[in-house]
Amino acid sequence: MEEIVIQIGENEYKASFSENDSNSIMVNDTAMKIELLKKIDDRIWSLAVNNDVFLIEFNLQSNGDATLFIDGFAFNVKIINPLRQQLKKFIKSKDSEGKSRVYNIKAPMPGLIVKVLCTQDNNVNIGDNLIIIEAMKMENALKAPVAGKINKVFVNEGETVEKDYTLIEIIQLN
Amino acid sequence: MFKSILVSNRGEIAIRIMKAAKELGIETVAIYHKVDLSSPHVHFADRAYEIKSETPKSAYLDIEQIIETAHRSGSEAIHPGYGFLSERSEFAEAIESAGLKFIGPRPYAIKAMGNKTQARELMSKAGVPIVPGTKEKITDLNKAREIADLLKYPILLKAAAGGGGKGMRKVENEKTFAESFESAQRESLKAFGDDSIYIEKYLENTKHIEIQIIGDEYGNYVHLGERDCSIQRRHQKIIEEAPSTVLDEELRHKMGQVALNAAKAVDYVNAGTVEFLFDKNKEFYFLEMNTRLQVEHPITEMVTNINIVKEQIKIAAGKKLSFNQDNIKWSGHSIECRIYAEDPFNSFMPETGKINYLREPSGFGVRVDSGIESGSEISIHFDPMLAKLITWGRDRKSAIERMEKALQSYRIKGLKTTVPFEVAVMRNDIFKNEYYDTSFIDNHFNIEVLNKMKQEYELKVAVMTAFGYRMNAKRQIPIKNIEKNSKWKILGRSRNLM
Repeated sequence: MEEIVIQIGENEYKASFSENDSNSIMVNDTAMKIELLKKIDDRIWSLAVNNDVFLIEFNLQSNGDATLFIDGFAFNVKIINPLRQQLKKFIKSKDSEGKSRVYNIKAPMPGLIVKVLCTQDNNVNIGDNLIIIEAMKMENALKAPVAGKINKVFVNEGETVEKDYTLIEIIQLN
Repeated sequence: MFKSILVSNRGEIAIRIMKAAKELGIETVAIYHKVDLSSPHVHFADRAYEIKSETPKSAYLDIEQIIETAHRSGSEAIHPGYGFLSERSEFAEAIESAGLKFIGPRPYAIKAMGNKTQARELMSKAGVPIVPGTKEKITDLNKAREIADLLKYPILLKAAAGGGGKGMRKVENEKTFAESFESAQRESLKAFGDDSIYIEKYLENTKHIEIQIIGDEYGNYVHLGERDCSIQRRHQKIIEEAPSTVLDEELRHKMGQVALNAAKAVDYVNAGTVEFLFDKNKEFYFLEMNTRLQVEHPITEMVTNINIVKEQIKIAAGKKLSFNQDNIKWSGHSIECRIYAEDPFNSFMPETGKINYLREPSGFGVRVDSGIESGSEISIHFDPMLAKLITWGRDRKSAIERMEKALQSYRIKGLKTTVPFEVAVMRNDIFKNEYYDTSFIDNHFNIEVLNKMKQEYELKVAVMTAFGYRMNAKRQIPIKNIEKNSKWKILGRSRNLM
């Protein structure tokens, strides 16, 4: 029997499969029935969970994580199989030794950097405007998610960036 | 009547206009930039012409090519939709001088109302109440700062040349004034080609209420009542309703009359909208006039049973209004939710990507004005509005309930949309039962509600993920009830041959 851990945000769900019944999955000791009713394409499936019907989009990424769209909600899910579990423990113990967390501010969409409102070594507070990015004719301010020190600014005003391009690195201050 | 009209727009509104034209037996002509080759509006039209341009957006702004295409396609009139060239008086002028008809107001009215400071001046003279503030344009930071001090904070900066929330900034105090002023100028310059700004006193707890008016070329005017557009994010509307909960019959006609006076002051012809700020004391102030078809026009159509776009085309063809004020009977309640490709969990940040799958709601009292289909690409080139979901109900409560159900049956895969946010608003007590204003999202909407709605899916998401993971690993889980049988065998069985 295979057992994996599904991590959704802060929560972890233990899932185990039944040996010979592919439609039964135990999640945190609850037995669930799941059936694939219709495959619209490789990613878009109509599923029934305990006979409740859902249309989902399921993308399994190459690193083993997945994104799942359901009823307008997007979930980023970590799938931890026994192999990754080992790896995670290793990373965790290393992590707890380090003192400060690093946050990367990424471009939420492709756009033009209109204004950079912070400089390297600046201290910023939660909610401070860091960068103004323009897309679809609108200016959007990217705010600091944590209080911290600007470690690095990777862009200049007037540059255009792709989605998910790292713009700023902040080191969280406690 | 026209034989053929060209629609110089794209997306849902191009299709909406073509539907009205087709109902009138008029041939429709689409224009497109090559990135839009597979967009639904191109394929809905009777004929389609490519406009060549450097950027996708500039195709829909190319006056010369659009007029040339109208001639080439034998179109007699051009409908501009909203956005793009719809409020550019030089476009209307060029169309008229090319011997074609612009489906909208005359150039003078567009120009007079398009210049927001001049419009304030004009309205003030016509006895229409305006928000305290400047009547002249400002480009100088120091002068602007002086005026802001005089009006007392909070104040609102607005683009003198435009509308639609672009170039608009609320400023709470003098500390952030310079930053906001410059940002508003940049946005305004980009959106309207003009960086002048005007300043208004920011009025607290106001609703955004607008009146739909319509007039023909013979001086007949009718108002079609109000729309309440107070649910906004970034000063841009996202949910609208008609009628408003704060107007009664008397006030509706009073505001309607003021709106008609505003329209008459600029010799307005065709459909237009006069926007007002409306405060808790039921005082209202002229905000601006939109000299075009509004995004949210369908809710007025639902409660008045008047097809506004059809009327627009008929008026442009020189027909008289077929109804007068006494013929207008409002019935029931209508709500519109704009479906944007934006992430409500991340300050409504625009999303780009591909619509991997689409199933739109339908049914009694449900209308979808859509510009997308499965496979559509949503790029940064255009506004992220995908479609509009409109419901009608006998009363407000049933319109809201119908909206909630319709939103829940929307299936859009591939990118994040505002649908979950809109479901949450339909369930919000303040929205359902109380006075709400334009600060609704900031003051009465808690993102935690959305997070909670999302959390309810977690267990199911976990089991689905486990299932998907296993399916990928084993690739052998069958789809339920699929038997690959030969049709001959089935036929044989049914005839008892086997």
